[in-house]
Formats: sequence, structure tokens, C-alpha cells
Amino acid sequence: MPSKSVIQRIFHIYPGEERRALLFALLGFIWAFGATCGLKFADALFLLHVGAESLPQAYTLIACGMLCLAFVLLYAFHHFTSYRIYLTTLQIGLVFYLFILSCVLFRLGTSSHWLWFALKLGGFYLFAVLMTCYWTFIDQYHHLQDAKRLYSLFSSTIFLGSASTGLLMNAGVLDLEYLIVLIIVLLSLTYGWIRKIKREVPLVAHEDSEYEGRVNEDGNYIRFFLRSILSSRFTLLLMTSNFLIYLLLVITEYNYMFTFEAYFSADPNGSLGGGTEADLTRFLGQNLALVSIGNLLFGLFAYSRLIRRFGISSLLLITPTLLIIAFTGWSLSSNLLFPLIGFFVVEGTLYVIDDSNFNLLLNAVPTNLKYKIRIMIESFFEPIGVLTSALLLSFFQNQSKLLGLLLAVCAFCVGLALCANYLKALFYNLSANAIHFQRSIGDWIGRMSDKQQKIAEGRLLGIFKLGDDQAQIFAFEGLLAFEDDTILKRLLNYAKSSKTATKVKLLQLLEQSAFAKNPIVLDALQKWAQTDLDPHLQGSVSLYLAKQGLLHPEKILGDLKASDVLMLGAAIISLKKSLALLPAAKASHHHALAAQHLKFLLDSKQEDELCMGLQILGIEGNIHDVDILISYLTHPCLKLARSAARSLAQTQILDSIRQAPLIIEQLNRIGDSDVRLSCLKALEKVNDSSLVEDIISASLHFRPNERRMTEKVIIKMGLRTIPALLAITRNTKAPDRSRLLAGKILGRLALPQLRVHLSEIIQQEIERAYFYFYHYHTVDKHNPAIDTSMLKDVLITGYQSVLDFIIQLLGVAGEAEDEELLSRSLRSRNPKVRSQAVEMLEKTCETQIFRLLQPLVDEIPSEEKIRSYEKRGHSPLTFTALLDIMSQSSAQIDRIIAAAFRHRLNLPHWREMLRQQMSQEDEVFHNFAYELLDS
Amino acid sequence: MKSPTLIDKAFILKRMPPFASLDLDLLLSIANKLALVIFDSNDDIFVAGEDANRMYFIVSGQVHIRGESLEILCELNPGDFFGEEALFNNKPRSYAASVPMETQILTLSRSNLYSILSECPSVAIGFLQLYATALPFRSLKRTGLDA
Repeated sequence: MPSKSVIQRIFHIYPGEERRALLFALLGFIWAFGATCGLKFADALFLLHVGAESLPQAYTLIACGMLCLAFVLLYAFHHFTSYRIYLTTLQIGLVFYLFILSCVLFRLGTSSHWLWFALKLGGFYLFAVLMTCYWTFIDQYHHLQDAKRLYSLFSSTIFLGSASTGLLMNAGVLDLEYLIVLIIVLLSLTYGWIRKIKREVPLVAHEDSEYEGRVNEDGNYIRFFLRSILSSRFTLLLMTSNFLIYLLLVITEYNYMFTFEAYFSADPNGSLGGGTEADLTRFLGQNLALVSIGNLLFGLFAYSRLIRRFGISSLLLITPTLLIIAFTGWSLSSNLLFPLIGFFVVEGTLYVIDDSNFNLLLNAVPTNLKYKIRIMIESFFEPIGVLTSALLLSFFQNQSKLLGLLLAVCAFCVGLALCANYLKALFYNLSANAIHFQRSIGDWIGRMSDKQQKIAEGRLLGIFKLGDDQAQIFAFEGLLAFEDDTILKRLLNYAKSSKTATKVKLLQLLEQSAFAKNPIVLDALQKWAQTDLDPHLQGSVSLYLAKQGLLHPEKILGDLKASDVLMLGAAIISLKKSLALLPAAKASHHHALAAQHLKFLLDSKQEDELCMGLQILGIEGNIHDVDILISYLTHPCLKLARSAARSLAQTQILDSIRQAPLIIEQLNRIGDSDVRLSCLKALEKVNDSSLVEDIISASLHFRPNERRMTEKVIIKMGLRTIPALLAITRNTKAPDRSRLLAGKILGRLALPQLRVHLSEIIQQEIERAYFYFYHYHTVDKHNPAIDTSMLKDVLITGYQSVLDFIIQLLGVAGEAEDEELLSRSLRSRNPKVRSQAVEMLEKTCETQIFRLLQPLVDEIPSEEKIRSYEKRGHSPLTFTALLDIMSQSSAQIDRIIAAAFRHRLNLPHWREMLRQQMSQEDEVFHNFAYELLDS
Repeated sequence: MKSPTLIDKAFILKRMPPFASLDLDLLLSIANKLALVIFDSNDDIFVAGEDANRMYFIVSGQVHIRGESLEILCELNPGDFFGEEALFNNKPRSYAASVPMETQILTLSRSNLYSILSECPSVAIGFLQLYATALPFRSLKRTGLDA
């Protein structure tokens, strides 16, 4: 339907979204019509029955009431859902107007002032609370990208509601009773409408922030709330910006009213008026009408377009800039243009731009603060802002324009700071849900305050003192990470009474800690060995001391005959280290003796003895021993493989030409994570950039922590790796995972180099992503006779893999702290998280690239994405052409599926093509190809 | 009731079989994502048929697992965990959970559980071991039902 499509285009509504948008737009209109009727008519009735002289009292009551209401709302939003609060507010509103109706019908209190006071205050409070409830409620159904498109439409419906009230007032057709009935009807309609929305529209609420019970926030609620605000710079800036806006609103209004009044009284024969109050009112009325129409048009048609085209940052500075111009010009010239700019800002941009900006910026506030900040700003800041500006004006009445200029400059600076912090705040919100696996115990401790560290130490000591073996090991590991000398003595004292097996584990932890050579530790260990006669502990302590070079070789010679492998190992190590303690001749004899016993261990068929032998090889770090260690890396016994790998990681020297490639080759065959990590640690010592490609190829099937280690290894190789990394990142024939790893490391080492080539790389990949997506959705339609389910699975996997590559590479180039988080967020089940990730992408990548990528990442129907691909001149490929392209893909699964389909459909020359392909493929493909050829 | 510190949360995890093999640094990373929720006496944690987004670890108090007709199937105590099945099978809750007394519970979101499984395969193995241990009981139950 063409009219439908025009509406969609005008209001930025996606196909299929029309009904939902209409429901929320109508809700905005109904409640705003009802609430503004209550508010505006109450104002008029107040003036009529009470008089303007009582207005200050009313304003004071309104301000005090708003502050109290803010506390109630903060409490309510902390404990109840926005849906419940919205309905309860409407119920209270309905009861209030029913009461007013009965008072009016039965003439109760109509002759006294209290009824009109109540009507005015009630109308104001209801309007303010319903406004907060409306935005909080619709926020549950929309994410950031929806907000950018649709919130200005919803704002406009609120303007329409207010305008309808204006028309009604102007017409003067309704008596008070009928008017209250109309308000009751409108509020009831709103009530029903909200329930309808709740029933029909699914929430896009945050699964990570929704709890069934009472969330405990670590102590006092108010303290937690304040601490959360203070720890978020963006939230503080947003609050400051809004407070400044409230101040500017009053100060600007004061100044232009003052100027207009002076202008009209000084110019009785001017073209604009005749110096009377009526002329001034007419002048203001005409301008207000123009600005209101402008607001409506801007809100409906321009705001979302500007936001989508230039981003929110560009619109943040409009109001402060206009005010700086207004106040500067105003101070220098008496031209009416400048106060008119002020008028335009107060009646126009503040509502249509700044209020809408605020609704969008709230998405970057930490999720747990979002609604509370809205209440703080809407309920606290308005009365406080009015009060503060009144005080400021009374002090600086003569310099009010200068004051306005200063505040406008401050608002401009805060606007700039908001722009600068927007991206970081979004990223903080995304990462708030991510688990930081890369952090060490030390990192966690470092993030604690002194007080928290003390508490943590106390808790760990408590666990150690009272806990079982597992608890003691847990606590010991934690306490060692504090690297606190004062605690070490106590800890070792407590450990005296631990079980032998626990002590052995504690020894291992001590060996890896900063206290490995601490005299207190060494002394304590010797005491353990003297008091606990368990051979395993004695052996472990001896081995520990031998590794530290603290056992005299002469004293342990007898242990060479020990049956205990630990004692034997300790003796061999001591003899090997004896050069420092004994004359050269004796030391060389000891070396020969040690070598003889080491050979015995390495030739042993016993697993424990062999492990000890491999461990000693690592301590010795001889380059020839490295070959032996490498040969054990793929040993079927995992214990041996791990032992060899750990020793390899300890060796100081590694031959980069011969041994390093061997280790990399073994990496391809190793499945165990511990072995892989130790091998990577060993490779850290090789400073040879020619190995980069091999290491990255080997990392294809690594786990996340192994990939992080690979990054570390290559980064350590330095800037010489850049050409190789760039070549891999650009190589479309290389697997995406390898390219991405290379790109990530490149981003860390030489970001400008990556950025230079980024556009070219990403554009190619976007084409690939579209190719997979398009054919996933169209292959069935164009080939109805073929069962394409398997092909479709591969196509959608390819699409996701390419999209991941694009997103993460853009994240690296945009200096996102955690690029994996960005792609994880885009795949999140939660639309709010996805929309924030899209916003981050928009902010981090070039506009031209984002335009290309946007249809793929935006939450639009697939048909729209397909249309976007077709618009760029693409058409569906024939099935054979599709298979041809897939057989050239960098992903092995694509090549395999292409071969499988050629075979299944018995396409001409499939055998020849397969054989030709085999010449460039690896073992996995060969095995698969033989199966096809033999069938 | 005193709320658990990061160390306490990590220690609670260490006591849970699927997480027992993890090192302290990983436990702290996961503990940092556990939210403490306090349920008052007779509160429902969730009801059968509800969408599932979280799994739960009991810190203090007690939890009653209830069947379709709200009969108590079992009582869970501090150190037990529940609610993870629905995160794995993507189905609504098949049982209800309520608290007979004030109860402190740590919760972990689905997205975080999935991240943990991808980063730490030993946790996945831990869950599998747990389910495998429970399997004979399940098959016996089925045989009993068939009979």
C-alpha cells in the first residue's frame, strides 16, 4: 500500500511496527490531553476564584510537594514496576477528579479557596508524575535505536494533546462539570489503553537487570544510590546539564520578558504594537503559535532524521550555542532578534530538542540508575532550579544577561563533555554485563578500596582458620595475592595445623607466589618438614628448597638412592645447582651424577618418575633438553604432556629457527588447554616475527583465554610483526578467526596502520555478509526442488562469522576496550543491549562504513535487508554459481558444503573439480573428499 | 542480614560442584556478576510456566521446590543451587520455587552462565557430571511410572 509506505517513511516506522507505534502515540495523546486539561483549566480557575496574589503560595506548595513526590517516586520505582506505578497514579488521578466532580456538583467548598488550590496542585502533580510514568513505561518497550526513530513522534503526540487542550479552552464550549467528566473519561481511557499495551506488546526489558526479589545493594540504599551516581561521570554530567538548562530556562525567560516589556512601553507607535499590554500579549501569542507549530513539525519530521544523520552529539550543543549567541548579542545590541532567539529557545528547542535528547541520553546512564535519574531530574531539579535561579536573579539582577551568558557557556562545556563521555558510558553499560575473565586475583584486589581489602583479608583469614582443606587452599591463594608481609607470618602459623595433603598444595601456591624466596616462608617450611614426618610432605619441602638452591649438595647425596621420587628429584636438582656452592671439580662430579640419575628418571616407565625427569629438564633449561620436552607434548598421557609443557614454559632459551616451529606444529595437534597455554608461554621467549603467520594459523581453534595468550605472545614480538599482521588481516583467503586475531594485535600495536586499510577490508566483508544473508533467505525460493537445509545452515553461520569479524575489527579500530563484547552484545537476546552495541558502532566507525553496515545490524525485517542488497545491483545467483563462489570461500565449511552439493546433485565434472580442489586443501578436506569420491 | 562480599560470593561458588574446579581468579570474575536478592518469608522466587532468565545459589534460608499442584518436591538449603535447567533447555520453568523464611539468594543471568560455559569448559563438565549422577534415579523413576 503506497500510503502505508509513505507514513512509514515520514515517521521512520519499520514495516510491521505500525500498530505498536500507533498504540504508544495514541497513549501519549490521550494522557497528555487529559492531564493538560486538568493542569491548564486549574490554572485559569485558580486565577478566577483565588486570584494571582495567591500564586506565590501555590508555587511554594508545588515546589515543596514536588520534592516530597520525588522521594515517593524514587521509593516506588525501586520496589514496583513502572506499569504498576503508572496504573496506580491514574487510579489516584481518577479518585481525585471524581472527588472534585462531587465537590462541584454538590457545591462543596466551591466558595472557599482550598478546592481551587487542590485542583491546581493536583493537576500539576498528576501531569508531572504521568509524564515520568509515560516515558519510563514506554522505555520498557523500546531500545535506543527505536528511541532515536520514534520518541520524537511520541513527544509530538504529547504536544498534540496539549494543543487540543488549548483549542478546547479557546472554544470555551464545556462547563466545569463536563470538563471534569472529560478528564475522567480520558484518564480512564489511558488506564485501559495501558492495560491493552501490556497485554499486546512484548517487553524488551533487560534480562540482566530483572530480579524477582528485593535486590540487595550492599548496605544503605541512599548511600548506594549516591555512590552509583558519583561513580558514573556521564550521569553526573547529564544531571549538571539538566540543572543548567533549568537555570537558563528561568533566566532567559526573565530577560526576554523584561526586554519585550521595555521595548513595547518605549515604542508606543512601533509596528509591532501600541504600547499596551494587549499588544505585548498578542505579540507573544503570535510568536508562541509559530514556535508551537515549528515544534510540532520539527518533532514529527526533523528530529529523528537529524539524530540518525548526525548523531545525538551534534544536537546537544544547539541550545547552548543559541543561548550564547542570544546573550552575547543581547548585551551588545538592543535589536529584538536576540531576545526572540531566547524566546525561541525557551518555548522551542528546550522542549523539542533538549527533552528528546534527554530521553535518548538516559540510555547511556547505568541501567540501575536510569529511572531514578529521570525522577531526580524531573521532580527534584525543576523546583530546585527555579528556586536557585530566583536567588541568582535577585543577587545579579543588573547582570542577568552576563549571568545567562556564563551559564550558557557552562552548558556548552558540559554539552561537549557529555559528547566526549557518551561512547564511554555506552561501553560501560555494555561491559557491566560482561564477565572479566582476563582479570587476575591481583587485579580484583587492586580494584577494592582499602576498607574492602581489609574486609577481604579478614574474611579469607576466617575461612582459612575455620575451613576444611578446600577452603584453606582457596583462602591461602587469595591471601598470598595480597602480597602483605604482615599477614604471611600469621598465615604460615595457621597452616601449621593443616593436613599434610593441604600443606603440599599450599607449597605449590607458595612456589608461584611473590613469597617464594621469602625467609619467613623458607624457615616455616623447614619447620614443617621437621615436625611433620610424612614422606610426601618431606619430599615436597626438599624439592621446594632445592629449586630455590637452598639444599647443600653434600647433605642430600644419600637421597639419590631414595625410593621417594620427590626426594630423588630434590637431590638431582641440588647437585645440578652445586656449582655455586662447591669447587669446580666437585661440582662437575655432582653434575655427572645428577645427569646419570636424571637419565634414569627419563628412561623410567613410571609416570611419576618420568614427570619428575621432565620437571628437572625445565629447571635446567638446557637447549638440548628442549627437544626432549617438545617430543612429550603430544604424549597420550596428559600428565606427562602437561609436565613437559610446564617445563618448556620455564626454559629460558628456545631456538626460534628449529624448536619454535616444532612447538607451533605441535600446537595444532594439542587439545588440552593447559598444554597449549604453557606452549604459548614458551613461545613468548622467541622474538622472531617470521613465526607470526604460523602462530596465528595454529590459533584457529583456540579457546578465548588461549587466544588472549596468543595476542600477548605476538605483541611481545614488537613492531616488526606489523607487515605480517597486516597481510593476514587483508588476506580474504585466510580464515576469519585468524584474520581477526591478526587485526586485533595490529590494532594494539599500530592502530593508524589498521585504520588506513580498514575501509577497504570492511567494505569487502560487508559484501560477503550481504551475500550470505541474501542467499540464506532466497536460496529456497529460487531452488524449490532442492533440499537446501544444510546449505542454509552453512550460509547463516557464514553470515554470523563475517558479521562478527566486521564488528570486532571495527571495535579494534574504534579503540573499544573489549571488541568481543561488542559482537557478543550484538548477538544478545536482549534488544536493549543490541541497540546499545549498534550505537557504539555508529560512534566508533566512519559514517560511510556505518551506512553500509546499518541495514545488517539494525533491527529491521529481513525483507528490508534483502531489498537493500538488491538496491545495490545484486540479483540471486544460480545454484551452480552459488556453489562456485562457496568453493572459493576462505571458510572450509563453505568449500566442503559446495563439494557435497555438487556430489549430491551430480553436477557435471564434480569429480574433476573436487580433485583439483584437493590439491590446495588440508587433511580434513581430503578425508571428506575421499568419502565423496568413494561413494 | 549482612550481605556477602566478593570473597564470600567466590567462596560460595567454590562450594558448588560445577564451579569447584575453578581457580580463584575465575571465581572472583564470576562472583562479581552474582546479584544478591533477598526474598521475604513465603515469597515466590518463580512459578511454573514462567520464562527463565536466571539460576540461583542459596546463601542462607531455605527454598521449597514445588510441583504443578504446589506440593513440595524437595527442600533446598544453603550451598544448593537451582533453576539452571530452564536456561539450558530454553523452556519455561517446569516447577515453582518459594521461600518459607527470609532467604538470601545469589543469582546469575543466562547470558553470564553461557559466557562462563564458553570460557570454562570445566563448568560445563561439572553440570554434565551432576546430571549424569542423577540419571539412574531418573530412569528408576520412569520405570516406576511405567510399572
